[in-house]
Amino acid sequence: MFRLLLSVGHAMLLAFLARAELRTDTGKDFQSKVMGGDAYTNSTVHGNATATAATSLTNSGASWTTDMWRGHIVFAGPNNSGTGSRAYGIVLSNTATVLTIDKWYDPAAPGGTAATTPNATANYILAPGGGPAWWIALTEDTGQSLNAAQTSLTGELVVGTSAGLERALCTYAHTTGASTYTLTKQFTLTGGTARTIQRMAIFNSATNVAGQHMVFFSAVPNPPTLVTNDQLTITETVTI
Amino acid sequence: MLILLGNTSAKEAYRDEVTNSNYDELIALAQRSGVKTDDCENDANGVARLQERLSSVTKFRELPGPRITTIMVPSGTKLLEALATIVGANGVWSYHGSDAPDWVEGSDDAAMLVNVIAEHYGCPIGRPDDWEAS
Repeated sequence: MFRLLLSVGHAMLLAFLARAELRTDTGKDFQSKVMGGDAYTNSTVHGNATATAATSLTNSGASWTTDMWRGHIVFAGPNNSGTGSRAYGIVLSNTATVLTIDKWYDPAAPGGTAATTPNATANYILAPGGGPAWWIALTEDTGQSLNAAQTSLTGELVVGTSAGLERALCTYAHTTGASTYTLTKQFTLTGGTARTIQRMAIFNSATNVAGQHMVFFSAVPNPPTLVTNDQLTITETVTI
Repeated sequence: MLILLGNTSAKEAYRDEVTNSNYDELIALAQRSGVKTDDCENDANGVARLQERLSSVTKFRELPGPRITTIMVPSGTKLLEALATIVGANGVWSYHGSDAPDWVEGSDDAAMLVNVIAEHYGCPIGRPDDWEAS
């Protein structure tokens, strides 16, 4: 349900109340991985990289099974000489020796700009489980079928004329013992083109790339149309 | 920024699964629930649309006993946005508590936000010594 709350000058504050989320097939895989720990058995779950790049980490001595690390977090830190940055990435895919990640996150500010790429011989650790699904994305598209097989959001709004409505990190909240948690984001449209928000989805990655997990997919009832400086607060209630 | 709130009026949101397929009953329920009906004809598509919209109506149930609500605001969020996200009319707290929180605590980087929340709700900073969450 959509509710007009406040109008101040030209700025409107709008709130979209939580709705039933569609847990996607890839979301079920993701949940199983995060909560169950996944297949966490390999002698090269930690070690030294032999190369790093903005979206990859290589260990030429590894013998990983293809995509066994998809959805996991890889932490990377200084090399054995103490040189290099500290960062983590979400694994999108892997070969026997190369992890492809979405980006290097700054652990102190995962919602901010990308961290410095770790040293080429960085120490790394692949964590059991996976990174949280706490990224929310919006679209004006209505043609994409709302079904569990979807893996990305058609027409996802990005920086530009939709500035302010691009994929963003949510505020997480949970009450002890409750069977739900909430993900909340207040968007402010700063771009110059009016946008009607039709669909939303929750992801485990900051970027829209192959290998991400789109965990939840929802239609927005009574889709709101935003003009510049309008604010929209979206709360997704997730049943555990 | 980590915020912890003592919560003796805890609640959680939930949604009903709507399986009723009787058009007249769905229309009546939709009107009582404030759900849009003007584009729902008396056919399969209209019924499906009503079911989908009704199943998206958020309801709340109480959670007994003292609890703690944990809120994690992304680093770098501006104070006003963080405050609105938590205490706004449809903010985070409205999904987790019916009354004002009993107390508020936070991480070092959330000190200012903790102060403002405490002032907004009139609650103390820091949990009482005898506080025990269920």
